[in-house]
Amino acid sequence: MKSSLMKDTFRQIKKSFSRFLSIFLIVALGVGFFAGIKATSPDMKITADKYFDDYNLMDMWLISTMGFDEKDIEAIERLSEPEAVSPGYSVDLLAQYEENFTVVKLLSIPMDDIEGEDKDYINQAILVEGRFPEKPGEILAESGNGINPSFPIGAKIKLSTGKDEDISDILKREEYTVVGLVNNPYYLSFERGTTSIGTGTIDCFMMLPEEEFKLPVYTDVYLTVKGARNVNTYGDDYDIILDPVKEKLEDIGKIRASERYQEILDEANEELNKAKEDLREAEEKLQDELNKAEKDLEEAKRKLDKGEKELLANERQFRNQIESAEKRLKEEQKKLQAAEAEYEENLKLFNENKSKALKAIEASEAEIKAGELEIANREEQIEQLKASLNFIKDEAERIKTIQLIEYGEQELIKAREEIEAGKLALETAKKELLEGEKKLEAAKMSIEEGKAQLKEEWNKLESNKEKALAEFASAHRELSEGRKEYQKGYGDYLKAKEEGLEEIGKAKEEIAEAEEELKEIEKPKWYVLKRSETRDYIDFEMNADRIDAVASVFPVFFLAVALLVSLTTMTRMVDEERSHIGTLKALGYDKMDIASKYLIYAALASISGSIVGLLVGFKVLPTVIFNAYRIMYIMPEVITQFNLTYATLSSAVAIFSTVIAAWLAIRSELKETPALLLRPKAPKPGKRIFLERVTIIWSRMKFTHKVTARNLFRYKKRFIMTVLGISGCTALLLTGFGLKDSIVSIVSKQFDELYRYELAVELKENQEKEEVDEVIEFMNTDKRIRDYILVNEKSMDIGKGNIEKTVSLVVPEDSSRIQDFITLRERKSKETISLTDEGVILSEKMAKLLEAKVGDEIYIKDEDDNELKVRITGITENYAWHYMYMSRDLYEEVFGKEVNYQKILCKTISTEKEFEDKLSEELLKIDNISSVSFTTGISDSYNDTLGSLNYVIMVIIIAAGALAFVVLYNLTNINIGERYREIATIKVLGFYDHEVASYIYRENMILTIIGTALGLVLGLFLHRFVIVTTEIESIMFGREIRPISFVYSAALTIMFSVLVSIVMYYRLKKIDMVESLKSID
Amino acid sequence: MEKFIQMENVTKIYKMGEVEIKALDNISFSIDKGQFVVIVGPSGAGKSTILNILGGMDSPTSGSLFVHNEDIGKYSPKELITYRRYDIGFVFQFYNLVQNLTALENVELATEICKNPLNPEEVLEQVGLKDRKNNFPGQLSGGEQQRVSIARALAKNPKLLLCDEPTGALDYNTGKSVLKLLQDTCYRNKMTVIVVTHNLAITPMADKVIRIKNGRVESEEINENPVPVERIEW
Repeated sequence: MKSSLMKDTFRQIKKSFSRFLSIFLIVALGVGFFAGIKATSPDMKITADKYFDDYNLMDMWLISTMGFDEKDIEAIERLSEPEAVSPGYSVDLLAQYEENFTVVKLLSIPMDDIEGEDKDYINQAILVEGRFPEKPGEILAESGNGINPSFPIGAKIKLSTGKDEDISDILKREEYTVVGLVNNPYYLSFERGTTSIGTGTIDCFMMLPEEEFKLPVYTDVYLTVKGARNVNTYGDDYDIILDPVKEKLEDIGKIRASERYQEILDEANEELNKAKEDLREAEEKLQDELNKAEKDLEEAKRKLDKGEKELLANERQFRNQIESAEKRLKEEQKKLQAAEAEYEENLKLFNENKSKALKAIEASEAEIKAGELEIANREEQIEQLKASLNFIKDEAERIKTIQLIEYGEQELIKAREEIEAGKLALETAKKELLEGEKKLEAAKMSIEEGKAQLKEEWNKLESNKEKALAEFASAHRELSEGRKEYQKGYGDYLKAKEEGLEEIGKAKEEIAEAEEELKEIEKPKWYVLKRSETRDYIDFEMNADRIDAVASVFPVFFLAVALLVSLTTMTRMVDEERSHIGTLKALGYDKMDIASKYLIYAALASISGSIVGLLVGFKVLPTVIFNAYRIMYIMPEVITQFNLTYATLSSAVAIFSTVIAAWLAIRSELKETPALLLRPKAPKPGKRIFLERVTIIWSRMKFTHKVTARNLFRYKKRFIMTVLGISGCTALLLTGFGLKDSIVSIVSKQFDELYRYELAVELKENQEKEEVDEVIEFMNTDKRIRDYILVNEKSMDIGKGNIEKTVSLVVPEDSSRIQDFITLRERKSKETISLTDEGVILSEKMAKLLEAKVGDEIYIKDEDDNELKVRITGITENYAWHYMYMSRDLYEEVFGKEVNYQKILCKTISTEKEFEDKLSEELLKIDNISSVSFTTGISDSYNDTLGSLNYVIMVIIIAAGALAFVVLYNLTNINIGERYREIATIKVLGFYDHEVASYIYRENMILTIIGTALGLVLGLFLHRFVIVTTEIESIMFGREIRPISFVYSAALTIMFSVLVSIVMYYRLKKIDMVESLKSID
Repeated sequence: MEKFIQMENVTKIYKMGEVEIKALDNISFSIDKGQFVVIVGPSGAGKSTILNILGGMDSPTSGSLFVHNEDIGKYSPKELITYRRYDIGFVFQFYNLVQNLTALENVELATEICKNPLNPEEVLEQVGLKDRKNNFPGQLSGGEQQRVSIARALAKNPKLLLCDEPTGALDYNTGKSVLKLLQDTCYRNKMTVIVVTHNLAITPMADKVIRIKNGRVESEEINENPVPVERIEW
């Protein structure tokens, strides 16, 4: 190429830099977006692959229903394919930290292997903070990037099983101190799975040195496979390497399972036999004991009887004795009474005599006294006489007196003698009386004595009697106590006998049960899982694939719009350069030289645009999108790769189409003669447009509007290009917003509108009716459950023609009430579909996958692979998973067996987390419940996943917005460029700036509005297309776009258009009127 | 007769980067109302600059330009637009018709924005295009297009009609008829018409001829007896 031409080319770029920039930017945007979005999914997978490799994530994961013993491990290690085999433990426990309980999954960590690059150390913990355990009692907690609940370093965690079992059966101690926080490549997301303890949801994992576990067998075995590290884990090669290993492991599993089964069976049999022996012994012992007890009881009874008899005899004897004693005493008494009576009589007699005697005595005494008195008198007389003697001198007198005295004295002596005799007689009488009295006295005394003696004897008798009676009473008491004791003993004996027998019976029953169980012992089953069959792995892959799905259509359309515009720009440029081309041609340059300028221009713009687009796109888009996903994944920074395929593909298309456009344009120009080229291209003649025929409208239109109208239709190519460009952007925007609507809306639609229950309770398998009743009782009585319904939910293969898919078959207990729990309705009309016995109701996506419609017949495969025909009576709105609803009667008719309910859908009174946690905990305590799930939990996790997709959509919207801006800018630029002269002319005519602007912009605005309107229609289709391609099989996205999204998309496009107009206003203002004077070149 | 246009010591300097080009160097002349004036000079003499300044498309660097006693030179850009809008009719060398509008509509494009426009149809009739008013420029010959262009300028009912090489793109006969139209318009409507051309041959038809050379007024002469166009030959 000639150097002057080269110079010209570069000057051209400089001169028309805004055009060059337009092409550059559009190509950069288109290529960058296409390549960047396309590369995101591979980049995500590469990043995950490296992460897995770096931390030696297992390729295979083995779990078994019975755990693994050393022999199992040896059998696995004998295989040649595994690079490393690492057995370990995992248990779900309750962890108490301070007052809070958390459900944790406790994993073992092989402390011997963590140093260095040991290949045996699989699922390596990534230390985020702190250190690894160094001494017993130390534990690692999950870092969880601060999102999952975890424990701080230094926290003392108390672990318990959450069941009846003792933690000491599992671990060496129950309290551990957190020393480090780790992540684990197995756990990409923040979901830790479900369990049967606590709230039913595992909150986080913890890792504990293997030595701390006391479990008899390993619970898990992790393997890495040779060569698997070298391939991308998400590629096909990975599965090609793993599949044969999986098969081999499953074979080993089968062999080991039967061996283990035999071992377990032997062990169990042995135990059973021992139990039987024990039972026999126990039975014998019981019999012995019972016999002895019986004998003892009999003996005791005999003794009691004997004692009683003796006691009665004693009593009788005693009574006899007492009676005879009493009789004797009574006789004595009678005698005594007789004696007393005699005595009384004697006394009376005596007293009668006595008083006579006393009277006599008194008379005697009185006589005596009178005598004595006389005596005394006489004595006195005598004395007087005597005394008188002295005075009586008369001797006669004296003798007479002496004679008198002598007589008196004689008389006196005689009186005295008489008195003495009286006295003597008295004395005798008195003595006699006294004697009689004495005799009486003695008799009385003797009676008294007798009386006293009798009394004493009575007393003695009484006390004896009393004593004896007391003794008898106590003896009786003793006896009755003895009886009572005996009765009790007998009762005890009976009870002991009963109990013993019952126990024996129970033991027998247990043995029978154990025997039954033994019969039922299932062979241990190994589950061999590939890495690609684990939850987080799949989840991440699904997300990456979802982005890929979004990337499947969208960027292509995006690139197409971009290229369309760059193509237009290039064509336009060649048109403008017409006379230049003519000049060069006239000067004698050959076609190639002339063309090369434009080809180079196009190539430079598109190549540089591609390079910048690729560099930015490959880096920025995966990073932005991946970082959005890192909110819900624990992963390192994204590894962005220069993806050669997409780079080549997108830039090739971009460069090719731009250059080809230039070439095509230039080729048609070059065909013409220089002379013709040098003359201005005949302006496109004006034409009447259809609208003018509609005189009513046309004649009413303002003049400038007519111009606009005619202009619009004059440049058909420009019109089409502009409208297509704008509509493309609007369509992209609408698709972006629509995607968001469709994806986000399904969560609330599915979980609020369609699922009207809040809680699903899963019962353990093969429940007896009584056991189910226990749960139902809870549901009936607990005030927190508003309503519930029993259902049977089971995975089933169904098909139509040669398509076969898996659905959840739901059979409610009561067809009429199912609507209260699950809305069955037609999506578009919102009409309720009722579940009848005529046929099944299928969820919409499933119907679509089966290409089935209402009225069609489909088949259900039963357990024996029989194809049972049913008719579809309704297709119901549903967004997540696939369901088929069937009435109970139909089920029984089709399957020929009764429905076995194992799930309860409940409506609760609250959706607060605390409420749900508490309810869940209580429910899980009921033995027959195997799992509890709340729709809020599921809907939250959906929201998280789909929320991240939001970021992708944001990226799309922003990119579409940017594209819209660039496209509009470019198209306006072309528009102004093409009409430069016209604009200059109307300026000369005296149009004010705003009039000039509106003269031009009116067209732009109309083009924008038409483009936008078309774009909204186009977007509707693009959205539908993207949705359908993006959808994964188990999910149906919403088909509707919210009205507001139409508004947003249209408003954004118009806003960009206005923005462009503002920018362009200054360009319009700068247009030089002198241009209008120049010749047309 | 009052001086309708008075140009006094007008200088115009263009700055092209470092270089200053003096397009007009202290030019002064005057034009009376209703005169048919021809400004003539070779390429690059500065006659287009004079036309630009007279037409309100450019402002002088120094000096003043009175039109109807208004100093146009001091006008702001907006005032200049108003000046162009109401006072000036412009006839371009290449007609500058809007291709997408019919002859009539092209005229209407101008009358739309005027205060006292003439009836576009009448004006078209005046320029002899009554039958072609609904044709698009592409369907018209060069002369016809120029007539439309003139009609567009006239319909605005301007005070001043400026014509930039109106015959430049036309053949001899057509050019003549266009000039005739301009001269007739001038006399019939008492309109001031200024024609800028390098064609000396048409000077005899002017009332006044201003010769420009190297940015200066070489001569300014009044033609007492203008010759009708029909009698001029070149």
